[in-house]
Amino acid sequence: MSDENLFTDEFLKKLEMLYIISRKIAAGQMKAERRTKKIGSGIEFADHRNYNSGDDFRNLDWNLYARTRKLLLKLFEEEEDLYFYFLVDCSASMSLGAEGETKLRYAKTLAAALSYIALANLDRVSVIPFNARPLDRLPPARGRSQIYKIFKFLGRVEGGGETSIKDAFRTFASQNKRRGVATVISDFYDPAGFEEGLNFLRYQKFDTIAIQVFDQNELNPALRGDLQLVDCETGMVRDITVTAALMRQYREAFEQFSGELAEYCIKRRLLYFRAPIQEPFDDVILRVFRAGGFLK
Amino acid sequence: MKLLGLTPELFWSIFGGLAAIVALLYILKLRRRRVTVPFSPIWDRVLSSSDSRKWWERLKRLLSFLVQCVFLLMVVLAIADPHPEDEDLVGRQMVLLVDTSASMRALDVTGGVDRFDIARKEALKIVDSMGPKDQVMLVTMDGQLRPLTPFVGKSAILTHQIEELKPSSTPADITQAMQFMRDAIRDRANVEVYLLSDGAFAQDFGAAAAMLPESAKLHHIKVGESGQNLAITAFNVRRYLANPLDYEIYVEVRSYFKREVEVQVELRADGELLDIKQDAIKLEPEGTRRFFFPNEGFSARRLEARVRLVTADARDVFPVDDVAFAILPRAKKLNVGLVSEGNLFIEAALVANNGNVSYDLIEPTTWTNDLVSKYDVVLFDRAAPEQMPTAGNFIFVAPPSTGQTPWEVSDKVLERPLITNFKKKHGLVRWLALKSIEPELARDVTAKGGKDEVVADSFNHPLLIARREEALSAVCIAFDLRQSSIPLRVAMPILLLNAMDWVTDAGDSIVPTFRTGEAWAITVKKDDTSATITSPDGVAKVVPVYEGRAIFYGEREGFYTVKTDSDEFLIAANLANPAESKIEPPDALTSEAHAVEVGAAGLRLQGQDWWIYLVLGGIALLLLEWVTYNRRWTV
Repeated sequence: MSDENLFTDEFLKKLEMLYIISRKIAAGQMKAERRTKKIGSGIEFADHRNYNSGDDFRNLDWNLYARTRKLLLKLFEEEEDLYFYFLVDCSASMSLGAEGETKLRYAKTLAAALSYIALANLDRVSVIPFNARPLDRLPPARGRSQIYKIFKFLGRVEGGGETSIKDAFRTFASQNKRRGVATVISDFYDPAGFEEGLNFLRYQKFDTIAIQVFDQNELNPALRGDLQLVDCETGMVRDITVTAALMRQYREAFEQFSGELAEYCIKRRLLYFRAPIQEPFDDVILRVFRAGGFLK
Repeated sequence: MKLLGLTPELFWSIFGGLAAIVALLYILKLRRRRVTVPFSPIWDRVLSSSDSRKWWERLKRLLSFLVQCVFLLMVVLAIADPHPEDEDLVGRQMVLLVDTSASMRALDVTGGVDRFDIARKEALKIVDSMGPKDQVMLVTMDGQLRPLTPFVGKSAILTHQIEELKPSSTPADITQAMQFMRDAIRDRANVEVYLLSDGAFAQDFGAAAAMLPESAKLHHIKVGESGQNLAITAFNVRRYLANPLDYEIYVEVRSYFKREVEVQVELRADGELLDIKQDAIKLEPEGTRRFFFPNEGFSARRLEARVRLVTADARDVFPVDDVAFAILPRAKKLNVGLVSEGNLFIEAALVANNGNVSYDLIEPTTWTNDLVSKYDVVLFDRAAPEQMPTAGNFIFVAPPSTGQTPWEVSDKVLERPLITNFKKKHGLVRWLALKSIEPELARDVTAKGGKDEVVADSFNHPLLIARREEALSAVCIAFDLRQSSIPLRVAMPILLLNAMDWVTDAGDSIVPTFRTGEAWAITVKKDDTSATITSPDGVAKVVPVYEGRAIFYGEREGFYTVKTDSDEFLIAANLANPAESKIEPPDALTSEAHAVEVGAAGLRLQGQDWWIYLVLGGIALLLLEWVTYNRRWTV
């Protein structure tokens, strides 16, 4: 079900307020407002490396050669527009729950909010909804006025289908050669696991941010007695008798799953955020800002 | 073990069938509620960790099935009514003889309202202990003996009857009860008689118990602890003859205390306090006092006497006999027709009683028999009607030989007749000293015998004659009042009043009160065929009337309303039984001829009803199953 009325004027005002806050949090201002980590032909010194044949002599650090008798080449950060890719999970599991309180709706809100901040910083923003593959693609857009386009695009996105993070991100990586910040907003409910998919992004030099969206009702489901559980994506059926002890074990398993995701991200220096849909989205946005990485 | 309810084949068939149904229900797959979850692999993680306990889950399920089977076994076994192989199944023949006499309303008990309440509870206990083969007969004993049930084996019938029992206000008759017992249990074996009573009988219990056959066991379940009682044993009221508006009241109070007590006696007329003897009236231990309340002038119909205990540390435990009831005689002003040429003395006597008598002076020449119905009494002074009426009340004074009277009157005149004989106890001459009356002249009147009664005569010449016929009452005063010494005496108005009272049948100014526990013969008019008697508790009963008497057995003290086709009046009933008021229970009832066991100590569950325990066990098992199921221990 589409969310045409998700982004209202009220929502836009809230985003503007978030943008002002973000300006206070991120102090450094450059021409393009933001810089990539790409080493190139800019004017900002980045590092040294050994000279190799074929390198441009103009970049040799002669002062250093005079002191150390070693030929070292100066490296500069290349200034260019930063690309933001918002990968929004729209599989069936994201659409589960009461109408108006689904994870997908929450994910769209987060994507819209972060997009607005990025556009306001004159960065380029692209939105890619996915389940087992990228379902659509909003080409990179620049300028604050593009936010309405993004709203419209997100509003049309509907949930459904199975999740395959690996396949979706492989396709995404192959289609988007321009590196940038890939923000994955998903519940990461992939039977095949989330690791391979995120690895694809890492290997393709995307700065990856993982926002795990979940519903507190999934953590504490009101289940009791003899039940037949049906997986909303795979349709797998399992008979079960839910007891208090089993519920306790389930909560532990859920926490373990979230913990595994968090541990994976931390170990690989990916930014990870846990976002229960019961938490106001602006709180999550501020958490993202404060953690750094998104605002530079 | 033997089964009384089902044959072994039927037992196993039912159990097997039900067990098969339960097994089928266990085999059938339970239709589970479908719930969609976002990510089943998390559940898989949980369930895979518990897979190692699946064998235990299966065992628990099997245990649950076994519990259900055991429950079924218990229920079917309970229906089969199992009993031990060696159990004696010859039931007892029990008689519950419940005392419902007045003394059972004494309050000297703990654990109940009164003695009867305790007795009722004890009776219910015995009924509850009935075995499957026991049979019980319920009999109540007070002034009358009432077998309420035959020998029955269903405790529900007995329980209902026992709960409906109420004590009466009549004395117990243990002799009558034992006579009945003897006949009721004849030819029966294994008989046990349970006497639920305070044992306060007026009759000889030992002799009564001797009537029972030796084989019958007699148990006395004693109720009551004390004999402290104060009772009104007599209560009467009468109207003064000379002044019918005033009354004299008599109350007799008896103490059953073992020590001296102080009491107070009060009178109430139609519920209002009339008089009270509130000075400290001391009653000796087990003593009796009589109280007179003279010259009580009041207007009422119902009179009550109450005795109260003033001694602070004493308690009267039997309130039933603390109050007594009486009905005041109905006062009526007589309308007299005086047929006379004029008699100053008679008129003076009537005027002296003008509160109770009014009269019209009628010339003898103007008299007609049609006037009879106008007057309560017609007094002919030296006159007589031409034709004697067939109904009415008449007094003839010195009747002439002309005209008609019920007697033969000759022309002969007796001079200075001496009164040689008179009937002292006759109503006509009460309170009179006739011998001092000296008549100068008297008519020679001849009594006809039969319906005539010569009250006074002079050498067999009747001077006073009373005649009572079915519809006619007549008195003849043969001597001339004017020519005697009587007008100068106080006897003059008394003689006339006696005569008027006698002919109107109002001479007896005492209305009798009745005693509970007796058959009352209530006087009504002869023409009435039935009477409706309403007891103090509002229960109306129609009784037949025979020769002007309505026969009724009264059980409650208080005021009764008697209504016939022609009249409606009140009567009063009291316990008035010193023997029943002596409520102190004996330490133990004994009889030389028959052993009496005290209490129901020998009472036991004759038949061992295992089915009760099986049902209880089944319920416990169900509860256990319910708890374990809801806690998911057995699934």
